[in-house]
Amino acid sequence: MTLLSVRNLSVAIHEKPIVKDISFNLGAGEILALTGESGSGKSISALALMGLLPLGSKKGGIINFDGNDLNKISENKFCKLRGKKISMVFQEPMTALNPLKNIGRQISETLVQHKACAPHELKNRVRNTMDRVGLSGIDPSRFPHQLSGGQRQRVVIAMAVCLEPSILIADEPTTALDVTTQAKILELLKKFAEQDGISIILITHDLAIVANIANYLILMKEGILVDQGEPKKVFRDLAHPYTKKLFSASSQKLILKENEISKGKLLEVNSVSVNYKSHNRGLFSKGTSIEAVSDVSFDIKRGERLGLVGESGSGKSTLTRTILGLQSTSSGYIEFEGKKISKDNRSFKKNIQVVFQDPYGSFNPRHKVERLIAEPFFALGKEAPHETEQKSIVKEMLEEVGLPLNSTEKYIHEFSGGQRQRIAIARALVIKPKLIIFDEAVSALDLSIRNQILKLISDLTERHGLSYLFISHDLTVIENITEKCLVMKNGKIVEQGQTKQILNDPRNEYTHSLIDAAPKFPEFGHA
Amino acid sequence: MIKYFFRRLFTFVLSLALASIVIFSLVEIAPGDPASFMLGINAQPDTIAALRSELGLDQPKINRYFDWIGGMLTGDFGISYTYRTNVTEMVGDRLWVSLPLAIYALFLSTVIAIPTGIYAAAKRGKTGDFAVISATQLGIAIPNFWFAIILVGIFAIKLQWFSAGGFSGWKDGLFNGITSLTLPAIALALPQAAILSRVMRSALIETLGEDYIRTARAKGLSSSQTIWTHALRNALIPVLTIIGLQFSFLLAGAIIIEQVFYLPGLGRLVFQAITQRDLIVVESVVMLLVFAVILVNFIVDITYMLVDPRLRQDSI
Amino acid sequence: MIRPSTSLQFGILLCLIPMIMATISFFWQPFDVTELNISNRLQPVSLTHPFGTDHFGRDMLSMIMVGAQTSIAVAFVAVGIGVLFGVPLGLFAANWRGSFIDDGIMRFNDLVFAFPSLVIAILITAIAGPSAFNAIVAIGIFNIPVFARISRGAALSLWQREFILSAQVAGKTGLRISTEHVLPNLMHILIVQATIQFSLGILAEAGLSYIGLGAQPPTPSWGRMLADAQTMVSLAPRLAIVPGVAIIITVLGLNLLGDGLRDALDPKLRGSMKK
Repeated sequence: MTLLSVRNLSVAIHEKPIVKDISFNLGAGEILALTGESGSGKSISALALMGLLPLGSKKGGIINFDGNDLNKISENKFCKLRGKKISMVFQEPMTALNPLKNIGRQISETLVQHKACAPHELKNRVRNTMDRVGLSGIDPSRFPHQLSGGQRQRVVIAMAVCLEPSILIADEPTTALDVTTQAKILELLKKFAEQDGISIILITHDLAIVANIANYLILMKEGILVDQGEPKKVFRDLAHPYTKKLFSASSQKLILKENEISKGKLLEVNSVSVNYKSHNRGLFSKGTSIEAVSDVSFDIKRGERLGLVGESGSGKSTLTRTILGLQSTSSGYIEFEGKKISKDNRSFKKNIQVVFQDPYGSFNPRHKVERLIAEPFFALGKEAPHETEQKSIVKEMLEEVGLPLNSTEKYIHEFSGGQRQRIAIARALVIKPKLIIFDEAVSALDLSIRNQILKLISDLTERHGLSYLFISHDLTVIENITEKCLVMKNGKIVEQGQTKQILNDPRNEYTHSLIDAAPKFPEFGHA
Repeated sequence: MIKYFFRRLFTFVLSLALASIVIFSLVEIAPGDPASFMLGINAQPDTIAALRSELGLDQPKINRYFDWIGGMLTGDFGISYTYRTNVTEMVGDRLWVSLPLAIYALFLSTVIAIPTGIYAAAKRGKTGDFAVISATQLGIAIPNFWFAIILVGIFAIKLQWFSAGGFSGWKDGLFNGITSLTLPAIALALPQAAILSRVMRSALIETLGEDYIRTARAKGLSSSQTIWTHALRNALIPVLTIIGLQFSFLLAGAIIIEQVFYLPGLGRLVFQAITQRDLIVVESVVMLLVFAVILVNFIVDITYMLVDPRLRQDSI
Repeated sequence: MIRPSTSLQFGILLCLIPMIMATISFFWQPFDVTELNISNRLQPVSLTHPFGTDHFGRDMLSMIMVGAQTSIAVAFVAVGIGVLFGVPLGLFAANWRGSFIDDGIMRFNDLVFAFPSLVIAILITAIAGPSAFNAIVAIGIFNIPVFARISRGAALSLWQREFILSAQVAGKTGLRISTEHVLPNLMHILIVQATIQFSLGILAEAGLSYIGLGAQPPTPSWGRMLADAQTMVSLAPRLAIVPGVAIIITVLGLNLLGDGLRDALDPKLRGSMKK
């Protein structure tokens, strides 16, 4: 039975078309996945269904629900539907809740707004809903900041499902969460569809999630619906070239070419611990100290490509900062080519570079690309080449990372995310270091671009005989780009060894749960 | 929570101590000996010396500092050099003008600013918003003492609704007192209201852009309901800071307005004391004003704690 | 809703009025403002005296023009003092964030903020004697914590950005990063704040000279003109209105300019327009 029927939906924001002529149906109890890369218009489509488009938007077409055209009904009438018949869960659980109100009140707000129950029943209804979303042990009088990201997302889900809506729209509900939490939240959503018959529109960029959970799939690209159907069928047929491209991007295996690995250690991390003093130290107390990295040891040989896996809060960022010499160790030491790293260790500074995650924050917006790429020359001090030579090296690097030579005169905001990451790599390579640290370097990129960047990294390291440490929360990335890897949890390394071996046969329980939780493509019977 | 409170309390006391040292030193480096100033140019050196010792001016600086602080703490502000009267009493009298004036002006400013700020934010991007923005731009640009002169010209001289200045005190009844403070309060409140209204508007607009407002809308709240139940309380934090700052400004910054209306307030007291080298009065009044500012900041900090549950937690 | 560029254009237009007046008055004034001519007192608006004359027979237009010089000079130098001392303090505090140096600078800031600025300005001018120079110092001192606070706040968020980390990886010192990476990215904020402080400076100067602590006669100043006009309000309201409107135009112009610049210079907004 068709619950919601969307005909020729189009949305323009400030005269710019974002969604173009989309039509689809949603049946009762169905999970419909709306997928596509960034800029495909999938989130805006969802907001259009909720009637919550940003100021300056114009929409067209028909959204038929419950005998009403949601594009035509009055705002007053729409308010009566939202939260009751159609509800929504958002991407960012950290900001989706009001920090000044306790979670019980925020959940009960939906009930009160729609006068769903008598005041004396409120408490019970809230408790029941919280139990249903897996918050049984949590006191409703707690505030959002006292909960973890996963728990907050459960609160948002509780607000959305407490009135048994017909449709639940979930906009990237797990993208901001760790992979183990993601699996649990998806499980929960699936339960609502299967047991309670709530239809779910799931917006996600992750095709593996789609393949595992959805009954129906809609693929969008730049506002246009390019492919749709049952996921099994769509992924088996790969009828549309874009579907094929995305599918191969998400399931592709990169083949790392053999690097020559020398015997000597390039970098040695020896039982390093890092303690943070908590910021709010009182006058009379010294403040508690938090051990962010605890007794970590590993080494990287020349030519070796090492991965570091961990969820948020595992201490991997602190470890990165420590290796870069930006954070001092509390105990243990780090040596580069047999010498301790310190502010005065020139050989260390000349031979280590870093590529960060955020393609927007990694560059000074006021400098031109030429100056941005040339910055690491500073580390060479007097040995730095002459300015004209620097310029020609910068051009060489641009060529190596596949960007046009006239990029030097541009500012960073003129480039896309993928191009910026190429510039970041050019900057890291410009002084020909021996070791590069990639800190979640592809996590902010769309899949197809991510693969291009990974390919580039693998080509370049082979050509220059580089070693690297690749930090990521994403096992598929680590699998593709490293030979050895470390798994980190709560500041400790829980497992290390050959990447393939760890992924196929994890010894540690935590590693096991990580691998289990990661969404994987089922077999579609391709050749 | 207790930790937060004590940290604030410590800052509060420390600021007071530092401020007292700064004030004392500033007044010390002021040229001109109060004793010779009081006795005139024809005074004999020995009479000056006698007066100096009577006033305690021959004591070492450090002793005088602690005498001053000790006196302040026990409510004894010393004896005015010029008027030979108790400073505590003088300040008390003037406070009965300045404090009601500041409260009156703050009341007016808040009553005007909060609703217009909310209205502009609710109508953001529309004509109503534009009107409020334009009015506040103008309000900020108008110097309050000029506005005061114009008010006197219109309402006191032309229409004769109010008196042009002076303050007869509270003994003639509450109504008379309030009437004679009305024009000064309006003059003081106008630019303050314009600033506060802009702060209210921008804080509210910023809050309305937060994700949790969208969450509330998804629950079925209308756009005006989200303003009242979610946005307003969260937007009030910066507004509170500004109100706190404005109160202390109104208490001390009314000097010029007091001058326009010939009001016997604290501002005029300190202004006259400076020109007459009545250092003990200057010290005490400035210290009192600084105390008021620091106290208000302290209260605002504590109010934050009550508004924001994140600050109520000790373990962060 | 007013478009950012509209507010910018209006701001520039309004600011130009006093600027041009002040500039012309350096070379030429319609009448000499130091010459008193009682027989010519309180002349109404006419072709020779577009704003009439005051109670000493001086030409109001000439006084407004020369007064613009004083106001602009005092406010401008006071902003300069604030920027010159405040910005380095703020950058310094951000560089040593969390340390006792940062704490010290911020405590100092809070302390200055706690003092009633007008009272201290009066105290300073009373100690050092009333003059335009001392008014500048008195106003300038209170600009220091404003610029220190705003540059520290913005610098702190910049220090969290990854491009600063990569400069650190290249081995650049805090001082170098502050000047090379932090300061250029603060510029737009500082320019906006400077226009706002400029307008506040104009108001403060007018206030100080109104109570007789600014520029001394015979140098004309807008605040002093208002003080002189006060007793004449019933007789010739024009005497109070003209300098008042001059102040309002200047302050309004600067504020509109600040608002317009805020939108025009913000790199975030500029980026979003590209997309």
